[in-house]
Amino acid sequence: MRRWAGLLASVFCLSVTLGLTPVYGAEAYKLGAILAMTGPGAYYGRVMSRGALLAMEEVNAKGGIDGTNLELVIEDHKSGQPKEGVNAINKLVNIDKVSFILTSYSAPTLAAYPIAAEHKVLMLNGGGWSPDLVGKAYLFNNRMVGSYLGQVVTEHVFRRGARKLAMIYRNDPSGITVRDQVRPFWEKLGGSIVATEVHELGATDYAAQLAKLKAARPDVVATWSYGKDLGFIVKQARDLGITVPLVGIDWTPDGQAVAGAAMEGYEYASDYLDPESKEEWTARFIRDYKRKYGEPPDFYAANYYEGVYILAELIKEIRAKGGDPRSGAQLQQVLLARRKFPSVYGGAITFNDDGTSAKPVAIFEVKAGKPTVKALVK
Amino acid sequence: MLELFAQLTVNGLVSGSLFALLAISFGVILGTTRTFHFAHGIVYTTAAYAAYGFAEGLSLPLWLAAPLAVVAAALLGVGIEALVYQPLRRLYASPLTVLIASLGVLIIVENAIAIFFSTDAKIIGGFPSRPIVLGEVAFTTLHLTMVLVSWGLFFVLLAYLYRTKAGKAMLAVAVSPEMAEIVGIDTRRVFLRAFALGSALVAPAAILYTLDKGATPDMGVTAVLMAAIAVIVGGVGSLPGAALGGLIIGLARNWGIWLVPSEWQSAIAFGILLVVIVFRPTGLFGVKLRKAEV
Repeated sequence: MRRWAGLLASVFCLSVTLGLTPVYGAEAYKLGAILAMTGPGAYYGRVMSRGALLAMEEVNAKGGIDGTNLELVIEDHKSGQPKEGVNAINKLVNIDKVSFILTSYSAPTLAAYPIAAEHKVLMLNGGGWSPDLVGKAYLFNNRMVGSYLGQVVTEHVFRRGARKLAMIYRNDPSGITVRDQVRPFWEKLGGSIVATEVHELGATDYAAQLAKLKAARPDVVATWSYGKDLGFIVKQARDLGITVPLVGIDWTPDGQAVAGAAMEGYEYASDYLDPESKEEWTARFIRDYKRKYGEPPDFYAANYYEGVYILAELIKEIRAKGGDPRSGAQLQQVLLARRKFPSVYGGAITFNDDGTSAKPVAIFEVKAGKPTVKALVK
Repeated sequence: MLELFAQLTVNGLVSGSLFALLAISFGVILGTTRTFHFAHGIVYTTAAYAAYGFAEGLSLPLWLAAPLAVVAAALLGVGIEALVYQPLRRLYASPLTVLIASLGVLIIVENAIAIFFSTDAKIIGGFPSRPIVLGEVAFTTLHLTMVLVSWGLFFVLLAYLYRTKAGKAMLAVAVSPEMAEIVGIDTRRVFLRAFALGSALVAPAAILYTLDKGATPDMGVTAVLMAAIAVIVGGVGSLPGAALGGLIIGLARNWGIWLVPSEWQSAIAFGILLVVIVFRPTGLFGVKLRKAEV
């Protein structure tokens, strides 16, 4: 009886394995993605994977890259856990043998980075914003660095007359590094920082931190937090009678759902995807994304969509030169030699030696529950 | 500085009132059945997610979703007693075995909730919360509701225990299960009633908290820890003690951050527990335990 059970189990396992393995062309080009598929940041994983999948489907529908289809392998870092980032990179490098990875969030990306660099795997980050992601071989960003966005938004409120700044930030590299880089910038402008408070990832109770920020009587409160965390901070700040302007560097619909009307007037600096763009590619992307997923894309979806196309360009060029597109070293070499790629934001995206890129940035203000562009930043 | 103290006091009274409600709900079960019901935390979480499911999933109005969630919590509490604790007691399981079984229930249901609802915070809308500003101190109508509901239920519970026959039976079992049996009280039924009562009492705390700060699958662990600390600080067996313990912890957690950075907030309650256990093991109103429970 026992032997039968064992046999049955192995037959079952085999059939499941066979059934689940998609039949791709023998030489499908695998690329990896390490995203927040579950946890408090599941919103980000959803839109980022949708952007990348849409691009992949478009490329494959046109017959792939000279006949080679793309195959996206998505791994989950559970909303920013470094340990999960390491698990994901180990699987992608050792089992899927990818040479290109779309990554997100600062902490898991930084945790996975040494392994990626050791195996010469090219990483493209379209979500994380820590300045620690800058200046690293094999790591490129098509997302603006958070400290730069923090400077943009604080300079904006300084010009309006704010001098006393209070900060609340998320206790991970993305929050800590922005805090460290905005502090000297703000003091150099001539302002003072009257309070700094920290919170854990996915916290929902901010009463203690906000009471302390309020008592410091700031002119403006800056948040280096994102997603639902930001929503809870904004809601509880207003509940606590903090009436001064709230600014930050992120906004998402799920954070908006948490804060509701309390989000009115919140201002933030961020990558700018013009929903009314007249650029041909931008308009087509927004239209197709909306048709497929029933909601308009945000810039996170656009970054990961764009990432897949950048990879396609790299593969095409390496093939034309007779090189091996499965070599991460050659991918990096061509990326740095070429630098400019067509951008879904319109025009071109240009990569710098330090791994950063230049793209449009805007200051937004939330009005009637929706972000509206207040000013474009050069 | 004074306005910070005032604001922290208000924050402390609000969270302390919810802790007090948590503590009496936990205390009524611990005091009556001598079961260290750690899975009370998951009854709390379940109440929050049931309210979320009824209000947001099925789009029921809040006044209907909240009582349904209370019923769901009571059923879960009674179910745990009937299906887990009673069979264990029949086998003369040690308090430690019961505690581990309780922890097991908590872990299983918590992960089931995480699988079903995902781990991100779930919010319930529909409560007309308005800010109230008194000089430098601000709170909301929801916070005021928390305080009123918590202390209202505290007095309802006391009235039930001291004014009704069923309540008096529960008190009798709490004092001595053996004597209660002798005078003809069915302790098994009283135990079930204590679980139903405690679980129904914890649900309003969970729902009010979720209306303010959202529900996460791990919310119950913190809640039951705070409840247990409040009960031990107040003295096992004394419901006014448990309520006072909850209030003290709420205030201390908030006053404490006046002096220490706010990220240390959760350590404050455990600091109080340590001091009480070392210097007054029976708690503020507790009597010396007749036998070691847990």
